[in-house]
This record gives sequence, structure tokens and C-alpha cells, in this order.
Amino acid sequence: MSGVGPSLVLFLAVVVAAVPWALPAAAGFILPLLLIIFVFLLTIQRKRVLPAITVFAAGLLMDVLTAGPLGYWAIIFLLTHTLANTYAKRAGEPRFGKLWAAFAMTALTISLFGWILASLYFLRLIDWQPMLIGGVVAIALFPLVVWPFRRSLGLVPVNLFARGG
Amino acid sequence: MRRRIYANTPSVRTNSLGGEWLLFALYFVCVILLIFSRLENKQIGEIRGLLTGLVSPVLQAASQPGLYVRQTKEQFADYLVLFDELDRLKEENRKLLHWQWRAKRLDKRLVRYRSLLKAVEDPALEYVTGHVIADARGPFARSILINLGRQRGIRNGYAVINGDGYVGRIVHTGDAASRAILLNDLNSRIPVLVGGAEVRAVLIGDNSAAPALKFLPHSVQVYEGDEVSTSGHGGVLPRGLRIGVVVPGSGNTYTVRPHATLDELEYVSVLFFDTPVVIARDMKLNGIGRPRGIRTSNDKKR
Repeated sequence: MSGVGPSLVLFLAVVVAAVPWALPAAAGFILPLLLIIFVFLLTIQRKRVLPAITVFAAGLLMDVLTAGPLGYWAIIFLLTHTLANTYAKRAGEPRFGKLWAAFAMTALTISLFGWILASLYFLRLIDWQPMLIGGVVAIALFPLVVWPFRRSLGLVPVNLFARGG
Repeated sequence: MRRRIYANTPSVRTNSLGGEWLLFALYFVCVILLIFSRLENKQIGEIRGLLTGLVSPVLQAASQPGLYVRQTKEQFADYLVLFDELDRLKEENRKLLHWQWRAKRLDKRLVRYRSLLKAVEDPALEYVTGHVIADARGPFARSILINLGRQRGIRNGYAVINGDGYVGRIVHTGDAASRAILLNDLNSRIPVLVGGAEVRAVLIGDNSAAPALKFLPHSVQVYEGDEVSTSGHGGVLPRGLRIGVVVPGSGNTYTVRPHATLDELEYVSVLFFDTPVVIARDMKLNGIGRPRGIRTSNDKKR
């Protein structure tokens, strides 16, 4: 299974998230946390593989573009990748509600982990609100991002109009 | 009952020992990089600079749609308030014409006083304008990436301004792009003058929208609305760059609301302000360049 397609999509998303979109400072975490939607979906989709090394490289690129310490977004993306893989191994029949709930848990976990890691880095408690806002917005926008990927995620029934039982 | 068949029926993902070891190794590398970044390792800075330089052409291309979107948004907003804005501008123009007359009179008086005192004239500053191709989002930095680098003569330490005032300072230069920390960045410390009495203080960034004003003399009072500008002390920044106005903070503290909208920066100018501090720091970091002479307003601009 080729990983080139998902890798290119992820790198493109990182570059788009880094350009200035004139968002207020309080919303500064929204775009980076929207990227975890891409990491989550590209990990669990079945046709093509998203390698862990690509996730690491994309996170490193995000660190460079955001002038943050190297390794911060890389470890967050890797954690998202790990949680998504854990969900994919345990998921049965693909259903949108279950997928959304799994992503919500992942996003909240990532927001909390990101806040703790940043606080450890600065050796003081940083403002938690931007991380929480970013996580909540990512959860809210998840259905919009899932829609183009619904086929590869197995959310579209193929014999909806088939005859017989 | 008809049973739905879903495309790509889930298959069990197999555990690969090699894959797990790779994942563990990547986590380990992330932790090591974080530690080295925290220790401000020089190689980490060089790696970051190299990667930024490689990606800057892509960022420059990718930032064009965002620039178009913002300009369209601003034009739409301007159109909605067109008539009110026209009235406001007419009134402002009337006041400015009066000030123009006063400024010309004061200028003549200043020239006369300078000649009496035999004072040395401050050199005019050259500048170059570029646009913001990336801005930092996250808990660590408030910085921007500008599409101007060493090829355009940019050095570390140069001040960055826009039409509203001081924005930040160059901290890293690549060949084609430079990174500037904003005045509200956690690492930003700017010596300033406050109000008409020109009280000395230090503006300290804390990653919030309004950086804090610290080290005010005890006996001095500052007031809400006092203008804050760079003092030029330390020789890093030119004197007199507009920064913002004083607003009360929590308790007995003061913060400064910048004139520049730091979240919506598009085009910024980098001032070529060469002082021994900037030159020595830049030569130490980059090992290149020679001191640039400070040009007066009589010389051609770049």
C-alpha cells in the first residue's frame, strides 16, 4: 500500500496551516490542532498507509514553521497517530458516531498533553484556554473534514440500493 | 433484513515489531530534540534555519491565497462602512492640514535651533519592505517569517515596523527569509519611553496581546493613554519608534496595547539600523558581512 498520497496531503496541510490567515491570538491553536484531524483520518483510512516517519517529519516541519522547540508538534502528531492506530485496531464496523467520539477523545487528550508538555517546557503553567479552544474547534469541524474521506474510511455503504436480501 | 456492506470492510491491523521499535525511536528522538531546544543548543538553531530556508519558497507561494483572502475581507469591510469612513476622513484631513501648518513652523524653528547649537543631525534610516509568509502559532513564540533575507542585506537585530509602528526584531536571517520575534513574544525586552515626561521603562513580552510595562521608577506616575516609544537605550533599536499606548493591567501594573495589529500583519518594513551592538552580534552569529555605513537622507534609497 502506497504512503505517498497521504504523506503529500499531510505536508500540504502543514504548509497551509503555517501561512498567516489573520486569526486572532486566542485562536492561534486552531490551525495546528486541525492538523490532528488529518493525522487521525489518514492513519485510520485503509487503502493507503501513513508511515510513522512521515508523521514525525510533518510534526518537525510544523515545529520549524511555528518557531517552536523542535520535537513539540512532532510528538503531538505521533501521539495522535498512535491513538488513531489503537482505535483502528479495535474498531469494528465503521460508523460515523463511533469515529467522531473516538476523535473527540483523541483531540481532548492531545490538547491536555500539549498543555502539560508546554508547561513542562516553560517550567510554569501556561494559559490553557487556547489549547482547549483549538481542541473544541477541531472536534466541531471533524465532520466537515471527514466528508471527502468517507469512502476510504468505509463509511459509505456500497449496496444501498441493491435488490434482494 | 438487507445487510449493508461497507466499502473496505475493516481488516485487523497486524502488529509489526519493527514498526513498534521505529515508533518508540521516534518518540525518543522527539524528547531529545525538546531537551536540546530547551537548552538552546546552537546546532538546533542551525538546523531550524536550514529547514526554514528550504521551505520559504513554498511558504511564499502558499501565502498568496491567504493574502488575497485578507485583502478581499478588508475591502468588503471597508465597503460596508464607506460613507461613515468618508466623513471621518474628511474631518481627519481638516485637522491634519492644520497640524501640517504647525509642523512646518516647528520644523523651521528646529533647524534654527540646531544651527545655533551646532547639533549633529540624526541619520535617516534606510529600509526595505517585504511581506509576512508565515506566523508562529503555539505556546512558544510570537514570531513571523518575512520574505527578506541576507540577500537583501537583512541582519539579526534589525527593527521591523509597519505603518502603525514597531512590530518586532529580526532574530534569525536566512538567505531569502528572516524570522522576527514580535514585541509581545516571551523573549522580547524593549527599553521604552512612556508619556510626555519620557519615563524610562522596559516593555516585556509575555505572549499575550498586551505586553507588560516593567521597571517603572517608583516615584513616577504613568497614565492610561500615554504614548510608548522606543528609547534607543542599549543601542539595539532606533529611538522614537511608536509602539502603543498604556492600558491598566491587573493590580497596579500597566500593559501596552500595540498600535500594530500583530495578528494581521501583511507587509512590514525592516529598518537598516547599524550600531556596533547589532554589527558585533550579527558577525558573531553569522561570521559574515562587514559594517555598513549609516547613510543620510541625501543618499539614494535601495
